[in-house]
Amino acid sequence: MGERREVWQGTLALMVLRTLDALGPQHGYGVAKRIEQISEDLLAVNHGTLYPVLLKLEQEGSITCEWGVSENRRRAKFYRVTDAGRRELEKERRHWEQTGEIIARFFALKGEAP
Amino acid sequence: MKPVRRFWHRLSAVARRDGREELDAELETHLELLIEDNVRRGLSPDAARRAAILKLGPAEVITDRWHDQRVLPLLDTVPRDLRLAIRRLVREPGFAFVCVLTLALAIGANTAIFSAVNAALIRPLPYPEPDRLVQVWETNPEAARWGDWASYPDFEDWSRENHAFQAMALYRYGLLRMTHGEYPEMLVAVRASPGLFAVLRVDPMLGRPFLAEEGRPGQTDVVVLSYGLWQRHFGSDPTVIGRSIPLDDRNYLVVGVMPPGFDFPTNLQPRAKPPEIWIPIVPDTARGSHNYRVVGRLKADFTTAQAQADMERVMRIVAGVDPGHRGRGAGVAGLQQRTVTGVRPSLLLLMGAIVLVLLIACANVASLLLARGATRQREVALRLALGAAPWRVVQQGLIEGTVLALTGAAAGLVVAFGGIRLLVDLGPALPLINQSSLDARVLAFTILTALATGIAFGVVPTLQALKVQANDVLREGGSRQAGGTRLSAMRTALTVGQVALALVLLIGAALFARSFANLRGVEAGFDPHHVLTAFLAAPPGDAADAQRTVRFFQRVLARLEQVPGVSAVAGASAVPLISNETSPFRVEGVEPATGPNGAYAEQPKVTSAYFRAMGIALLRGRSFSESDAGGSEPVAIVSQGFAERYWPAGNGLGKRVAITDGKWRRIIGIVQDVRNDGLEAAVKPTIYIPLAQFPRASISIVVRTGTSSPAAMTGLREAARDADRMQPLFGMQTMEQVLGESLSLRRFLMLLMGIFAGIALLLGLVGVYGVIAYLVGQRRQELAIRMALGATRSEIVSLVVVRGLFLAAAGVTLGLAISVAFSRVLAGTLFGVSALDPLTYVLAPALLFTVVMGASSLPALRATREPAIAALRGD
Repeated sequence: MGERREVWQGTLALMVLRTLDALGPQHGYGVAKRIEQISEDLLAVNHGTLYPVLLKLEQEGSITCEWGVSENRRRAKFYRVTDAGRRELEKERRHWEQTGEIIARFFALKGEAP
Repeated sequence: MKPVRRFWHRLSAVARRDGREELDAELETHLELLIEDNVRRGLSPDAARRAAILKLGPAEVITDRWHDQRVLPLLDTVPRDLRLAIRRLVREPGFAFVCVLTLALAIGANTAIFSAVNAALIRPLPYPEPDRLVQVWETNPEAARWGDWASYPDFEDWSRENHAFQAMALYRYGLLRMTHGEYPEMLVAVRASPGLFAVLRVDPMLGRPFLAEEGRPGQTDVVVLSYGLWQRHFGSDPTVIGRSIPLDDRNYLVVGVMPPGFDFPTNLQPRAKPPEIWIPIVPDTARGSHNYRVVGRLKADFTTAQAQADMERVMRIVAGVDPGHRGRGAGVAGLQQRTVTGVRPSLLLLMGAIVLVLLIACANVASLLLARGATRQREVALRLALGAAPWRVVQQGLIEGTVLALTGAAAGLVVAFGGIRLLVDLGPALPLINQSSLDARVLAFTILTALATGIAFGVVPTLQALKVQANDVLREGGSRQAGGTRLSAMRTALTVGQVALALVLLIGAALFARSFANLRGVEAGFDPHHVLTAFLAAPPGDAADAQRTVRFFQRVLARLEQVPGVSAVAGASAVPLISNETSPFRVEGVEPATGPNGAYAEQPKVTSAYFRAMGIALLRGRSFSESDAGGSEPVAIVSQGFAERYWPAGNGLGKRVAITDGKWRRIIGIVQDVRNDGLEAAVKPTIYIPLAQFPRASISIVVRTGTSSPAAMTGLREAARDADRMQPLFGMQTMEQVLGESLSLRRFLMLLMGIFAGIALLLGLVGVYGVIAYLVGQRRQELAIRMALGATRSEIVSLVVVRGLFLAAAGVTLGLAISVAFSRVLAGTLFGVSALDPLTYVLAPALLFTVVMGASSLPALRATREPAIAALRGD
């Protein structure tokens, strides 16, 4: 369980980072909605899970935030990717591509003799 | 870099205000936006809100996770849990009080016993590099109780021939009469070879240590004072160095003052008074007089075993010089280890016993926590269901346990402080133990013990709570029996353990009590009641002239006889339990014996009234009389054991023996055997010689009085002063005291084991009562229904008591198994009773059974008195 959660958290963090990168400054609700749209119902259960992830990214210096006003004129925190965050994102992207490629090759394996 | 950066963020967040309000605001906005979305999709406001709340997830869990993420969880949650734990305990003062009291007793007693263990076995001796200090002695395979002594020529040979030691020193106790003030004063003196201070590596605070040449004959009249004597007698005057003081009518030059606290070798010896002066020893050439102890400092690269081997080599060289030393060996052992050899097993045993008491106490507190935990189970289950990390629940339990344990330990320190005072005051006169104190190591022990116990009983109930399926508890709703069976199984197991450990302690205590009773039943061979003894020395001027010392002692003894209430007065060179005079002897017509105990006998020189004064029965022949004087026929009286050994037919009277002076002495009487070395030691063959035929310069006086001792003591002191103002009586004590002290270790063991067993029994009783009361509480409705259906009161009681019986049977079986397994540990410390003594093994379980039955019938009886309707309603 714990391990799965760690992995999930890491993946979620990447999604959040990429979403912010693509949409520009955004509040938690915006990020959640966008991820929900893209991942279909992956995040359907719990929007709240997002907030610890946002905090972690902020602590790592990948994103920063400032208070602003939302569409319904409420106080909301707007998050934005930093330069460090973009570098991190690039690194992760390459890592995922590489991993994906390798895994794909393994799935392509046929029962040949060595 | 990332983790480091994050760590700092989290660390600094601990100190900042928590950002919870900000998170709340964020979540609030998020919720509003979700609701608006849902409304837009056509849901009713109510449904929109419900769906939004579901989508966002439980706020409490989000906040918790967010918070855990924000700070270092431990740094943040520990103080929170601490506050929570303290609040809980304050809310339940009765519960807290019982727990803390139980723990205070157990931890305090543990601390007190550990302080004794620390003082005797762990704390190094107060000299530099104490692990290099060893005692060296000569061993004699022919004498069973040779002891750890050495002779002066031994010491000279050893010092010259050894390779293992940096230096050696020899010393012995003595008494010197200082005639410096108005009244003469007897000072406890240590006569030592000049190198003693160098071996110990302690320098005088003032002046200088002895010079090497001050160990030579004619140059030994110098003295080093103790700090205490310097303060008391010389007003801390630094100009005392270079002054002369009269000791035994000779002038000694004061050359040094030792620093405060230096009292070698008292700290190593039982019952010894701290020395007040040190003077160089006068060399002697008697190879046969093993009157000294030797302390040595090992070279850096020598172990004790290597030094032992080296000393065996040296002893072969000695045997080459002196044929009398053939077959003799040498012993080498660490000074501290050697000192505590006698008490080590007892101390470790007590430590083991008190740890058992601590375990029982822990089980009690754990059981109480479990009982309380029943009510908290729902809370735990709820938190888990809402997604709280199991670790957080365990952590909280741990912290609560630790708070309890540390509070208990703090209160326990008060118990320990009292306990240590008790150990030192009432405890046996044992080396080093009387220096027990609360030092840093003992405090560390207490804190570690508290933490360990806190974890032990803090985590058990929590793990238990975690195991119970959350669903079960929540579903059972209002029922207070939630998870009850499992809980009671846990408490039952704890109680069985308690009963078992209590039985182990009970058996131990009973065995020690029986040992003590056996020892009290041992025939001492003399009558200690109303007998006083004290030391008396002849004037130094008379000491050289045998007949003058004899006349001196006769004059003083005659004066003491006139003291009202005195019925007999005698003098003796050695007194049972106080001093020894063990020497070789021969029996006429018998080849000199060999082997242990073969050729050595106790040889006290006594005056004619000795047997009457000491209450030693004359079995055959006659006692000494005034006519057995220096010029008359040499005579002796032997002990019964001695006579039976050499003349089993019983015709020992008239036979002849010789002691160290070589004269043949006719045996004129046979007396009862005396346990000279203590009630536990074997009886030694004894030859009594008239003091007038073998004069001594100092003796013990033995006085039998008809009245109480304190009055007689004053009278005797004054009478002695009348007889000779300059030769006071000193070291006066009653033989009952002496006998009592010889039993003090046993009494101490018996007392402490008794106290421990009592505590264990009490705690076990509370444990049994608690678990049975709990079971009865659970079965209230069932029992009430049975009663309503016509079950009699006694049927109900027996229904419950059967559970108690089960507890007792399981506990007793376990306890017996543990006791049998550990019986060999006990065997060495018992006297006259087997470690598997059948009587003890029957009576102790019987007592325990009775106690458990009593404890379990109380709640049962109460249950039968309850109005059935109340029970059925389930209030």
